[in-house]
Amino acid sequence: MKLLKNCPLLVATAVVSIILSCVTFVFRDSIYSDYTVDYDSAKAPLFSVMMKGMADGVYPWNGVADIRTIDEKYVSGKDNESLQDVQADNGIVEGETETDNNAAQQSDIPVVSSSEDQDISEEADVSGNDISGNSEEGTEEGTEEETETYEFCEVTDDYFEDALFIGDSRTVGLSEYVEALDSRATFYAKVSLTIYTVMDKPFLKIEGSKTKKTVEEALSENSFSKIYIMLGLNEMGTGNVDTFYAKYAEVISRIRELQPDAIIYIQGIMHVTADKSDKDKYFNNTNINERNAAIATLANNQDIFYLDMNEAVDDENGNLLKELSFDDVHLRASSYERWHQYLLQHAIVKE
Amino acid sequence: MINFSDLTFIFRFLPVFVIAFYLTPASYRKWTLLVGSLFFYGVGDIRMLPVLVGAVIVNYLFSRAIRGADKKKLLLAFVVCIDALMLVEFKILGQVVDNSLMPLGVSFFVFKMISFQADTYMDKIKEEPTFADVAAYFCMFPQIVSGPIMRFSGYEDNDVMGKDVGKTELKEILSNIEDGLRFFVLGLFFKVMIADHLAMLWNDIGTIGYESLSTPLAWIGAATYSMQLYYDFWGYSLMAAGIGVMLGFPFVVNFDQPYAAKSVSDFYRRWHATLGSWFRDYIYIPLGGSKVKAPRIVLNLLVVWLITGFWHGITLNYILWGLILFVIIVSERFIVFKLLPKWLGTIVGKFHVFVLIPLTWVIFAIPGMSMLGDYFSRLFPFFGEAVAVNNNDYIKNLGIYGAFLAMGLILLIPGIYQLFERNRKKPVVTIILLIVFWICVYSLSNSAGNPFMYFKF
Repeated sequence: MKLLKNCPLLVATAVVSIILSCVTFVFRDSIYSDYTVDYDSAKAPLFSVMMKGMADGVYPWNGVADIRTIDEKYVSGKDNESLQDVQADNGIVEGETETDNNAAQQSDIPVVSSSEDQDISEEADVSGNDISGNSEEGTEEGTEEETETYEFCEVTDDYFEDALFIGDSRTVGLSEYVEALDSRATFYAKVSLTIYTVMDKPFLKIEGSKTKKTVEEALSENSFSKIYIMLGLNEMGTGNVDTFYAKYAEVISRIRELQPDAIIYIQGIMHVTADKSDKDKYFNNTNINERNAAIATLANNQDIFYLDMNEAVDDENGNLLKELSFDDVHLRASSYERWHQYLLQHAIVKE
Repeated sequence: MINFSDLTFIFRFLPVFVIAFYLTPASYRKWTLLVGSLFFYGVGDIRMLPVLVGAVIVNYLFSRAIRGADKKKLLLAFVVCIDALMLVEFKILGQVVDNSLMPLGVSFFVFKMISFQADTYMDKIKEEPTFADVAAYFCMFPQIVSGPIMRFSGYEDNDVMGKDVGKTELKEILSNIEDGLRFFVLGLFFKVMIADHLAMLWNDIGTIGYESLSTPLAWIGAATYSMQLYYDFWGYSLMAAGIGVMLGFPFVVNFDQPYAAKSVSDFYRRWHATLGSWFRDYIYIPLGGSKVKAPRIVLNLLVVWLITGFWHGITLNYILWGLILFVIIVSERFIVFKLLPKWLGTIVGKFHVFVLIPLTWVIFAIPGMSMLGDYFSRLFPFFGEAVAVNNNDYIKNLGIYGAFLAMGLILLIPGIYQLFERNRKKPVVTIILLIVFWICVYSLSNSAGNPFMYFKF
């Protein structure tokens, strides 16, 4: 008691440390097992493990948080079986949202993959699924339109009037610093958005309401003719190429279902500068290129296209030009124009 | 680990060291301090450890020589030249060749060494110190990285260390640790919860690019960087002083409410006070100080502020920063507080502190002259050309960082810290400190060893 009276802060700090350590010790192999992997007892107190978990919403009293289960779902990689499972899951979800798709289909943009099929049909949905998942299968349905080839051409800013951009902080930057796009296109972009969270995380403001909606919901309610996606940088430290690809494929497939008429542009992840790339274990251009190569295969060049804006911002070694970036990762405000110009020159126009 | 706001330091090095320190008999504690400090330095910068050790030995030998010699002045001049040259050389190497060639804390330990030699010369150190004392004073880990530049008299003023000190009572030990911990926790809060978050805003501003800032955001940026620097360094200084208190040293005041100052000269008596008083005692006063004619005073001030600029770094912006402060201080001394009516002088002085000082920090922050030009052309949008400005950028950033900016602004009120200092032993303050400490630890757990914390794209 005397001790507590003389040095209450010291005693309280010590007691709290001990309690937190005990709690972490008890749960270290169960709910915090994911976090103990990198733990080094020489460097940090044991309870730092629990605190990391708590930041992800994993509390001792509520068990395993959602984000972990999402990760685990894709650990198995992109082997066909699991991919098909994922797609099958989607098929079920799809059925429930049929009427929403119907609304989306009433857009006046000609449907390319199944343009004659205007009915609210399951066939349309299935075709959407197939194309996104595997372009070879998609050709089975082929009509003469399927074999048509498209080439990138130059357009004016009006092209973006019915376009949607989905992305992380880099796309946020595009909206903030390219007035021509911001005033025309719609942006579903958020700092630290990932392919794992893009569909389900409620971050889109609803006018006059405090609640927010998810991209999934927004895509069910609105329709777009062009959808540009750039995601993948925040995920560099998570999973591997296969898990990333599998999730990306699932997201594209879902967007395809919700927006059957839209041209989907998969944008390759923008590079980082040489300084960053040379020093960083995760955020380097070798890893980015690997992932870009994987997601590029999702394009079918019919209604899903792959765009690599890195051409517009790279130096001769394939690194982001140093003078275009302050933090080695993001474009400076004045450099976003290069991305804008690249998009203007690489558009698909279907008649 | 060499960062005080690091979990390894807080939960591993510090407790182990403090226990080892107090388990050692009082007369050997200086050795524990020396060995622990060398270990600490070695972890931070093992390659440059020999430089530190070499400098310590050379300075110890010279101090002994000065003490007994007839030609004291010559010896003093010689060793001060060696120390100064070493500092200049490493600064140039670090700037021109590679940053890693600059030994950790060199600016601080060299200044400590020079002050020690001068104090020895002026007979301010009565009893001849042992090698272990001198070495422990130069190397002591709470001060080696970024000060405060404590004088040797502060080192001597320790009642738990030394051969005359009897057995220390457990009660005294615990009350030292307890009191030091209070300052440490407050410092940790300033650093982790305010400075580190403001640093993120300053970084975001850089990401946008200075040429594309809206004018409101440019001014918010100046305030942000000024407060980031203040809470980072004040927080560090409180942590360093707190650790000193834990080990029985007196509390070293390094920041004394600088933004309550009435002028820029006053500001720099309160900001990084141990550096300011070092310049006063070892450069300004030996040059004649203020007891000489006006032109000579101006020259003395110029010398002091040029060296201050160089000491912070050898790039052009630091020199420019020092020169501008020199001009402001001279103008205050000979115009503002001499010729203007008193009420106007008061207003101008406050304007200097709240407007000119943040602008000088912008110069301090931005090394490239063209970038600096871009920044100032956004602060004062009458000249220069803006590119891709989003005029709502400041609304967005206030939304994200407004709370941290507000916290920083509120803590500028001098009364708050004084309130803490007076009441720091009251139960309610203890509870607040306990909560604050664990919030900081939570925040650190999620940034330390996690490269993604500050890199969310």
